[in-house]
Amino acid sequence: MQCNQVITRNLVPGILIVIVVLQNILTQTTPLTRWKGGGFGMFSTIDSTGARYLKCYLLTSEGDVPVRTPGRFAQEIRDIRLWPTSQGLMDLAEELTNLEWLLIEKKPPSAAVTVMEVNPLIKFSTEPQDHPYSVSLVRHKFDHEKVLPTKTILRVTGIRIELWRERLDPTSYRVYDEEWIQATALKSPTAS
Amino acid sequence: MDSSDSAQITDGKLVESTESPFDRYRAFLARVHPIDLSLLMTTVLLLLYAGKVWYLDIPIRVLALLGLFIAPLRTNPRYWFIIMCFLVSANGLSWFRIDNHKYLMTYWLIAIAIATNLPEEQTLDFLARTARLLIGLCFAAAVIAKLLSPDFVNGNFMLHTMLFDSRFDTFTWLIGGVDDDVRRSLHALLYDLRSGYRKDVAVTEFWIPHSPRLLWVAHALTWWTLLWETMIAIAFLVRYNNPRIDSARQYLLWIFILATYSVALVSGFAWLLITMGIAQSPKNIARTRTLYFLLAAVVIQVYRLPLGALLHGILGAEP
Repeated sequence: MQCNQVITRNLVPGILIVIVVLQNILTQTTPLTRWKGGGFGMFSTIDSTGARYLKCYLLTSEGDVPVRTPGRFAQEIRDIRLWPTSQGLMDLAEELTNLEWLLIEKKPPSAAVTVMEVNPLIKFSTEPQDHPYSVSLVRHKFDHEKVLPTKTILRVTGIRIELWRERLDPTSYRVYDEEWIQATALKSPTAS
Repeated sequence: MDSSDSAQITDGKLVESTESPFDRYRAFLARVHPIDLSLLMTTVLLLLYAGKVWYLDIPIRVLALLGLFIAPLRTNPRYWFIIMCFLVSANGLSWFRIDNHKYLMTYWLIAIAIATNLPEEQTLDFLARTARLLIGLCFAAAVIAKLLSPDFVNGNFMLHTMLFDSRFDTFTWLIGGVDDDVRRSLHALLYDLRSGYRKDVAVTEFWIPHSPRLLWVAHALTWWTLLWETMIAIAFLVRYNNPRIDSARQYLLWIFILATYSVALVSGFAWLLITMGIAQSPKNIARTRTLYFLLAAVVIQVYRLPLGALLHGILGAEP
């Protein structure tokens, strides 16, 4: 068999092997999840993209305010979760400091309270204003959004993002999460 | 007139054929050239499961439709080269985001693009060999990943998956003996672990059920998966080609598809394995092809039904 015939015959399996080896090296040496990268490591570990999650806090003079990360960063956040790096987390934190954040004076809708009532794990008063949950009352300000009197712009000094991952202890069967990487970006005084 | 037609003219009269539709269907399958069958299945695969991003989805769907209806396109090397270029570039742009079967699909399309450029007498052998090796290698890689993983062999992954992956709900309830209420509570706890920080719900840890039965099932599932995937890898990677090994390959793959996708269905992966399964067995007879067709057109589609909810209804428990 000629040399180019051998190459042609083995090219495609060869590409698969190279990618698998590369992915295995990356998963051993970097935080890339085994589920991604072409190594066929799906369904092999708990440490999937879904088991890695971000916790985002606004830093204010009155303390840290936990917030949901804006939907427009969904792809960026997904990338961080499947292959996290300190730099990626810091870049995201810096982007988030460029946003303005609103405190919205709004009670949770009664439907939300009803939904919570059926969860036996949650105990609270039936009065929406009394229940201990704060349905996300802080969100980022959309571009061109008018700030109505019912909304206040929060004075944010910075953003802290923490990447956590879920673990399962094999002896005690305890599920817990552990903080993995953290990044804090401070807002420059001129920005506010 | 073709013997497979439903009616034929005898002595100037229209006479119903005695062949059953199934016989005609088998005759059709036996007649189709193995290469065209693989390429036909690939166009359907592309039409349904190529990708979600618009710059891949739209052109590939258009090309797949063309290939489905214009038979000569399916043997045109340029047609497959264009499709391959779209797949390689689009999947290359997001290579660490895409699922593993998208990689396998890309490799398969590269193989087709090469095969259709080869002399006709080599095409069949090339496609068969490449499909066999791709299946074997992807299962071998899956086994290696599971062996290298810190939480697969000890059964933790399967235990966790049974309790928290909603696709396993019915399996966990039926086989693992975990009530719906317990699973719902666990799901709520996991949700609070992940996002409770926004609601001042301080869930930082919780314990999951680990009855002897549940642990036994988790370990059985772990070793079944490892054993079956290893056997598929070996069967498809050995070079020997004889009817026994060929049969073993088919049965191992069929059982894997039947068992695995009944619980955790990934339709695109299943269709791809079926397509390559057909291609790797070029001397397959109508019975083999029929079974592959049944898997693709019936079994995989039936698995998409809300069977779990139906079972819960029949057995009298809430889904």
